[in-house]
Amino acid sequence: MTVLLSMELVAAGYGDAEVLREVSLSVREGSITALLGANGAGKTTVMRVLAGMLPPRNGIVRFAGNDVAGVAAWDRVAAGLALVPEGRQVFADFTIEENLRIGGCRRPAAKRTARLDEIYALFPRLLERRRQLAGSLSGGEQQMLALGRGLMSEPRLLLLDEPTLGLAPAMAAAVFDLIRRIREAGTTILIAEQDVRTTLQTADHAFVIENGRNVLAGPAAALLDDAAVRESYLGM
Amino acid sequence: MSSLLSGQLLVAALATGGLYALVAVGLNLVYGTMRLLNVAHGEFVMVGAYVAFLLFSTWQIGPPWSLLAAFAVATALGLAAYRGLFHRLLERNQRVEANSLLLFFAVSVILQNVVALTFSANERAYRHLDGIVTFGDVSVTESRLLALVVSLAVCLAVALALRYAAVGQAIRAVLQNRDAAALVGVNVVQVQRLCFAFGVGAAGMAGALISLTQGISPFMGFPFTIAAFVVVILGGLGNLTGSLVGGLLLGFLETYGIALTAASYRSILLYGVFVGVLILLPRGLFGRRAARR
Ligand SMILES: Nc1ncnc2c1ncn2[C@@H]1O[C@H](COP(=O)(O)OP(=O)(O)OP(=O)(O)O)[C@@H](O)[C@H]1O
Ligand SMILES: [Mg+2]
Repeated sequence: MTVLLSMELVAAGYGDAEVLREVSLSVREGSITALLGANGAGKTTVMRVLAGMLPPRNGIVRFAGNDVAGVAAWDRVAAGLALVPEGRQVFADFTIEENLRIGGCRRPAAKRTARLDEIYALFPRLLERRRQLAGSLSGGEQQMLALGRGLMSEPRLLLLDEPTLGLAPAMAAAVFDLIRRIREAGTTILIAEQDVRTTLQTADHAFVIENGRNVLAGPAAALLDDAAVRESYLGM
Repeated sequence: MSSLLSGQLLVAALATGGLYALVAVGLNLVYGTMRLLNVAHGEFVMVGAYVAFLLFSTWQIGPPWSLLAAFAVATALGLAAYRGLFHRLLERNQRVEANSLLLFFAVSVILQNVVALTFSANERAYRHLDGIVTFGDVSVTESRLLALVVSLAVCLAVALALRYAAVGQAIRAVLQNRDAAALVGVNVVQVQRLCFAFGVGAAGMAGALISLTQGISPFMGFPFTIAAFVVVILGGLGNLTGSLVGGLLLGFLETYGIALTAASYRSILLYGVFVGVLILLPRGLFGRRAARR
């Protein structure tokens, strides 16, 4: 399989704070790849660099074979790279439908409408409440909306930053279910998660970072059996 | 008391309110999409007023061309300032509000003094469209009627565009959450540039309308900056419909306030409302929550 996205020896930070020192990772086309690490390890920072929201200080990011340095976040969306950010970030004063439609703002109008039906088929709850303001939705519903909004751009690669944060276990399980279905429909996924066990059970490949550096990488199944991972991240 | 119920006063209030709304919408667009505090907003009103004055006194060109020219000149000036000063500030993205306040303050002083040096500090005025139109018991000058119609029409067009046009949706997305807007594919920089250009352009157009109804001077802008800030705070930061309502409301407060007292109370009323709103309604009339980043 070909590599769809890669990040090579990337350094990045905010002001004087150096958060990523040297992080490399690659995501194969068609895979679900996990990005793991403790709180503050730098997962969100990796996602922001990949999405074009934070320029790296060093290193290269390639998407579909091209160096994307200098490509603005909004143009990365048009190129097929979408981030569902940590904390949902839905447009609170827009209705559900307005949120979804603007998610497809880089697609031709006809495709957007067809896509909207697909998203509603995936999330019947959003269809029921399509005229409701996003700000009045529950946390779980907002997470569904954020996922649906990200999918509206028909991305080749979907970046998910903690999509189950704050969700009840049943809801979180539903999100993982959905992630599998999205991959089966042909979208590659890179996911950062707190729930290490379920993530490793869902993913094909995983990278673990700590203090802004790679510490472990390998097939998800192998990491699930790895003694060090079991001890540090699964508490066993 | 019967004079308070006259159509005359109502039209005056609507004209003043419409102009305030037009000026304030621009200020709110610039703040809402970029967090830039444009304390030079009134100077763009002043520039528009001088453009209209010069066009009329030199070539007898009046509306609609003078309005469009005022819009264009204010926009060009604004875009030059954006390119030279504010674009960099936004890219660095540090202390944007405080730094923009200082930069705009400099822009304000420079514009006042350049105009004063070029055209002297004296008040200027010209007579155009000063015929009287009468409906029933209401008589109003053509210029005031024009100010009312144009400012309300532009405000209405802005409201409709924000609601129904694709670019309006993009602007509303940036107003609500700039990062999320970028992440769904909205070209945030383009939206910001557009809002800056339109915001100061609308101020310039308001200036051209104002020049038809009152004398102009290089220092006429400041009360409009204050009025625009009052309106924006009344209607809510980042809430553009709120600015339209707030503008009309301030127009009514001022017009009826003067009718009950005297014209010399105008400044006291304006600043009084400013202080009152800040203390009593810091989140505005409809403030559910403060505007978020
Ligand atoms: N805007 C910012 N300014 C300064 N420091 C920041 C900023 N955002 C994050 N950091 C710091 O960068 C480090 C990594 O943050 P990041 O959000 O990438 O971690 P994370 O792995 O996503 O954590 P979590 O699991 O809690 O979401 C943290 O120490 C954090 O304090
Ligand atoms: Mg995070």
